[in-house]
Amino acid sequence: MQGFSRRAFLAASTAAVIMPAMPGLARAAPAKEPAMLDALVKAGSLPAVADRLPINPLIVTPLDRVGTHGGDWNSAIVGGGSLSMLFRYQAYEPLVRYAPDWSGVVPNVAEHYESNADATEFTFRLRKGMKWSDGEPFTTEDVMFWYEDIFNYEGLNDVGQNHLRAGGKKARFEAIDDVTFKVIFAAPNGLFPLRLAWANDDQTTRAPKHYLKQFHIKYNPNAEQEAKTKGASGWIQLFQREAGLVVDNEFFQNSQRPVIHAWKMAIAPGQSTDRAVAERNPYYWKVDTEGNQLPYLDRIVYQMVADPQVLLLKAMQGEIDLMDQYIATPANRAVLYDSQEQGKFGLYTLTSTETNEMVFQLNLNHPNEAKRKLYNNKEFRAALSMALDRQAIIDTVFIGQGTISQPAVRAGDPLYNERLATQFTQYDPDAANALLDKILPNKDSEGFRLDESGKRATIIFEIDQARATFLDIFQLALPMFRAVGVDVQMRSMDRSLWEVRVRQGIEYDGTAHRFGGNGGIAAILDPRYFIPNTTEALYAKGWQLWYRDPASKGAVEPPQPVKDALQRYDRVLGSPDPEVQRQLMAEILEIAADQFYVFGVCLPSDSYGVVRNDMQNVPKTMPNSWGYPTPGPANPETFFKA
Amino acid sequence: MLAYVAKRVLYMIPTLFGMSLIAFMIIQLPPGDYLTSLLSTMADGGQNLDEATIARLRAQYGLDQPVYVQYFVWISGILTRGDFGYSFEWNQPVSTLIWDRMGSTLLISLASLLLVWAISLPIGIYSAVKRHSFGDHAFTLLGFIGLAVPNFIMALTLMYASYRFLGQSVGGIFSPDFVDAPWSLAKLTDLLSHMWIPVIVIAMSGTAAMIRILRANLSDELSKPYVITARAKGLPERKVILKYPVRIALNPFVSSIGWVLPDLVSGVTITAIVLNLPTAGPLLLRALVGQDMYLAGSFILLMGVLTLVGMLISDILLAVLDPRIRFN
Repeated sequence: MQGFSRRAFLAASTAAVIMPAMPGLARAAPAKEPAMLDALVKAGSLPAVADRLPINPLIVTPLDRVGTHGGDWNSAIVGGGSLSMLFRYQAYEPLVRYAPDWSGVVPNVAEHYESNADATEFTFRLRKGMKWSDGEPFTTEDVMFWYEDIFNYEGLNDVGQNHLRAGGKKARFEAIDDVTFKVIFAAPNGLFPLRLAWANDDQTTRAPKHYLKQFHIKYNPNAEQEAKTKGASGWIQLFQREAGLVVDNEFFQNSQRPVIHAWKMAIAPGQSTDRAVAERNPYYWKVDTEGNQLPYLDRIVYQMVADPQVLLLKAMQGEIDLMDQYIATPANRAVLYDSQEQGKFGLYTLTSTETNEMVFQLNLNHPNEAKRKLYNNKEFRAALSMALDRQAIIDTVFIGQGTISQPAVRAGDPLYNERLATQFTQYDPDAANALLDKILPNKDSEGFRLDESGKRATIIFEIDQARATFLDIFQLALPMFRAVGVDVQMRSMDRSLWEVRVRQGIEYDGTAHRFGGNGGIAAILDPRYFIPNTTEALYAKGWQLWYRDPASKGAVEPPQPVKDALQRYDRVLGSPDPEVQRQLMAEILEIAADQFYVFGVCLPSDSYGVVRNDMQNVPKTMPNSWGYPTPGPANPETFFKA
Repeated sequence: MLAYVAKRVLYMIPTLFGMSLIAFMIIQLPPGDYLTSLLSTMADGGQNLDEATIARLRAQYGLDQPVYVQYFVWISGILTRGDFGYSFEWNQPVSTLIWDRMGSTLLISLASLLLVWAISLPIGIYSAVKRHSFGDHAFTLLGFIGLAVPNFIMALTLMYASYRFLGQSVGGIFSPDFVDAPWSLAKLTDLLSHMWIPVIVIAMSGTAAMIRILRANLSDELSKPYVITARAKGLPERKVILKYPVRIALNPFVSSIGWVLPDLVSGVTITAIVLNLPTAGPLLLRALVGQDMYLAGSFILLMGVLTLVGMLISDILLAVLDPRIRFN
């Protein structure tokens, strides 16, 4: 994402953005019936399109031009794998959604929203006459069902939904009428609309009451027995499986549950293990500028491929219409570039929104006293950072592509902090040695530095072996660390072991990872390397736990500056004023620059995706992120083939 | 004979029990469980689940219980209700998933088995009869190449060739256009145009091995006195060879049936992954990697059962074919 539109941010986070409602536009020009549904309408088994649309459908302006109905979007998934991917393509419909350029949020399921002056009360207005994919009305009753019987129901309320918490308390929902409801917080929650639009976080638009109540003990006293006859351990398990709100896979593996998305599963993954098919939702509530009901494409067909190499061949042959996951690796770029003509496809650009290619993270909360003390010494981390010849790594691993940087907000962004981005990035073994000679002056016969107890100070980085670039970087970095006398080792391990040892454990010296925002909305919503705000900040999980609850297991009391930063971040979350948020964020970044928690290699260079020449309305450039579920916000419902 | 079969069947029961136990234990050996692997895939996409959710899910899936309780739940479901449990990853009953894949698995395995037999039988006989001839050496060379080249390399090479020179849709057993289509001549042609790669790849190493075995066995038989007697009596050469020594040399063909059944499930997994074949092998691998334990356990158990049944069948067939085995 380039820059950060303050105006859009203002619109998103403060009050009273009255979107001009445009009722009647869709009615004015009689909407064209998609050919696929024509027969059903003529046979009388489906109402005419005018009766399926809400009174005020969302009018989407196609990127280039108005399209025509029909055709398949050919796509693929590797393995049974993680179906979270499908949110990107067919299921990004929160109450408010990100604008295609990720500059802020725009109305979506809610035709209008506003907040009070201190951002504690948000009012949403749904679209009157909007329907689920089975034709049942979508109203505040569904939203309240989600709020009362899922989010607040003892036994079901385990879902994250952190955007609905402020001041340590859950939000309260109040239905005003059929289409209007309020979300009320105990404390200001200025980022609420921005966080509501995040990938698949919003669940209020995904819980059809008329379908789900049959599995809920409150509405069906026999739910428990019925669940057991279906092989579930109890109604809760069956309900979760049917609702699919906790595990993404389960959301898409159910083709029975109605949705409000542009496409609904016709052959769900699992019903067949070879492929999955999503078909157009006849009740989809968006139209183009000429009043044609969206989506244009009739179906999305996902082949389930067991191996990425097969997928690569399929893409080269032009069997994939649009995709950037799995195949768009730096290594494949050349071969895909070469086969563009034969496969009749082109490449689009994905701008990176991540902070760094790889972030070295020493465990600042290590249970071992001596190691903790050493790793918490900022000069020690600075010395390690200066021991790295980053340009050599970039030249070898990234074929010369990449700008040297610590994990930081990228230059050009209003939040850019030069010290954070550039400190200790120069390759200076002498300076590193000088610092280390103060901290670990003694060496053994092989020239490795000894710790206070006289043992060799060994640091083992534990790495998930599936991340090939990390392994490549370490191959080059290890000799650089050893050259300044620090015995740094890498231990690569199977992912499941890494999960247990690092993500869930605490006894690791260090590890490496990536993700985290590098600017704009991403930097505010996911600042994991600027402040340990989640346990994803693997360098200081203990601090994060302490801040949430000092009594919790594994909690470690952080030093005062870190506490200050965490408090400031709470104020960012609570503040309704974007100017205040920006100011607080800048202070947090300043603290991060002082603290120098972690160090990195270079900014990630832009990635790419593959798009068939006949796919229309696809942007040439999109941000690449999970939060902005590429290409979801770019309106895939307006893609068509011509 | 009947007593022999009954005894064999009886022995199978404790073997199966042990097998199910070991299968289940092995699946539990790697660190973490299904949720750990689910979490890592989700985190890869940038998503997080909080600790409370994970704990609740773990309880919901029954993963918080000791291994022996999990085993008991699984095995008692199989014994009392024929219920193999639920696949976490696919959200489907395990039996549905396995049966779903059986059709194509059977098709490909049988097609390659027939090809193996069709090629190796005549070549094996030719090589044994014309030992050390030019033809024998040529086939031997081919055979060794077939044994030595890894299946998946062969598969990738053929796929690339078919992409580069034939412009054909690679992977799978149908082109995308035909997956949905009802059966027709065009669909059959499409199937055949896809089937040749997996069938050749899978058959290749099998053929090579079978030729070597047949050649060795037949060579032994050819110099035996009864063959010389038959020749001396003036039987035509063709009849001499086909009627007696070849029948005896056929034993390894029959023994191989014992391995065909378990191969239906697990055979040529790597080839199937590379070729994107909708067979059982890739599904099993996925289940093992994802620690989808009921699916993986049931697969392994099924393979065990099939191995035992296959062995039994081939032993019975051998006994029928070769009286010497019956009398021992």
